[in-house]
Amino acid sequence: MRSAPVKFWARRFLIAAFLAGATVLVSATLQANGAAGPSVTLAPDTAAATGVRWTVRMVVPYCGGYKVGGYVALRFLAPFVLPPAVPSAAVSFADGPATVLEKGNTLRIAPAPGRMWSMLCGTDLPLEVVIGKSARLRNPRRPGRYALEISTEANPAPARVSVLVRPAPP
Amino acid sequence: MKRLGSLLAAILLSLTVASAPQRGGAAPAGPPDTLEARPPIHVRGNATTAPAGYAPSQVRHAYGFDRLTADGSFMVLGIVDAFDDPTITGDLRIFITAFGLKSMHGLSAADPCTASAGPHPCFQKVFAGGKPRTDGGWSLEISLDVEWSHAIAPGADIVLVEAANGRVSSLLSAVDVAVANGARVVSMSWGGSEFSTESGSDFHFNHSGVTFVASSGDAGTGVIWPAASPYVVGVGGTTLPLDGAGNLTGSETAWSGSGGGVSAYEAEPGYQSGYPIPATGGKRGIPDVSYDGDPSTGFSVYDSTNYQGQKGWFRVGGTSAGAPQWSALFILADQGRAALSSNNTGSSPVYSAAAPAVYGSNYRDITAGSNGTCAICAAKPGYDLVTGLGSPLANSLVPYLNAH
Repeated sequence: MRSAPVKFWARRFLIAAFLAGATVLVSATLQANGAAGPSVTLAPDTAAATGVRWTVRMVVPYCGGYKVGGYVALRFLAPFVLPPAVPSAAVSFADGPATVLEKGNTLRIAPAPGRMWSMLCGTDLPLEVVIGKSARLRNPRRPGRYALEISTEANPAPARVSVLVRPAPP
Repeated sequence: MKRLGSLLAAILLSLTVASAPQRGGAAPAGPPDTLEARPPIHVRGNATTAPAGYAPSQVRHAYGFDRLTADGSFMVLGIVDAFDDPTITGDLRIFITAFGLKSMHGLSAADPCTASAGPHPCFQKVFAGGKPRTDGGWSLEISLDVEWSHAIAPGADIVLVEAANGRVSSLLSAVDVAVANGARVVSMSWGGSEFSTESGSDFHFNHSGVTFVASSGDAGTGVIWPAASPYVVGVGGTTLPLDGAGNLTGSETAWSGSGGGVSAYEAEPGYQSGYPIPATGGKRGIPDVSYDGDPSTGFSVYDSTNYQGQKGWFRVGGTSAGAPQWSALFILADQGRAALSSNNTGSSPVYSAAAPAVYGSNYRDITAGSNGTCAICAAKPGYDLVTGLGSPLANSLVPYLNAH
């Protein structure tokens, strides 16, 4: 007669424990992706804004150039939508000219040929990729926290970055 | 209950896994040159509060500079880099103090100088155009170039010319400014992929009485420009194991990152076709010489350009280290004689100093190590396309160059 309530409470405990574990997992993932990974800044960062400037920052090993392989890939996840064409002139790689290859919802951004690099080796340096206003990127209509995936040719495993879109001013 | 126990254990395990830090929980599967999962503000995490790499006394001893009396006095060494390093004068002062080196003028507003008028030795910073913006990576490069060229030629004047940015046109304009400011040797610790019209830009290095020196690249086998120019001395990289006094604790070997190979566009100069180098199909071979460039046997550099919290001492390498120090070597050789030139494609003092009778006394032939797995990727006796003629034995090479 006592086994039924024990099972009932045990199941309750197990469900609670499972949910707690899931919460920890989600929390850890957000922390890893948001605070410890590359970052993205939108300007303006308000919902439905147009002509948005995207600044993607990351720290990568440097040895005679950024060790990203050939390019940095940005995969825009819904509700972000890329315009049909992003001109290379709208994008910069490490404050210099870039080339852009658009494939579906992914931009592959590489330094343009003709760039000279310091032949320093043995340190990590910040890398900034900027998509300027003239690319005509648009923020989602609704505020919220959305996602962008960043990878490189050297490391194709994507890092998911949280992107905050704030409510539009009234 | 047994089933319940198993379920409980599984959940506890899942909790443990879920709680594990994401970065620590999964070991990175990729090569070390992968995208780092670090906060963007975590830059140059290897800065320390004390010198972290080789000291000038070690390197001077290892390459024989400590047996020379020449110090480069009244000679002007030009260093061309991109962007502005706003803290270079203070950083050089700290570097000089830390290692007990000869002081320089121009390191404070109260002690101004120019390379042309003195007082000497003078450190002078010149903008090739307007004042460039600051760039942390290039600031570290500038610190390396300035501090270590002074460590090798402490009596020489240094003119640092800062280009507006990293574009070819900007850097070449800065090269012209360095020459116009009296540089007898110009150090270029930078480069980029070869391009089909590169020989059309080589005229920037075609000056009688001026030697141009460039890094050969840090990515292993392959050629970059301007090191590929026949008017430029290309410097590759080695691994140099030293004890605290600067004695070699093993052989100096080719660094895996040393750039080298055969140019796609530049014709083989006479000084190479007349020397036993590997068949290059009539094209320029790179590098000409080499120097320690392995970051694991790297150089102490002080850089306080505050880069989001990181500043101090760094241990850095790359073929960036070799260009300014070979430049300083040429400055020592130029002292007391008409300046050497690197624009004579028919003959080169660098190769003349590698004639069979004097090769062993002027150069340390690098015969082990590689920069890849290709047929030309291994160092071998004599000239090779990884380390060139080898690293300098300055105590013999400098007097030889000075006398010839």
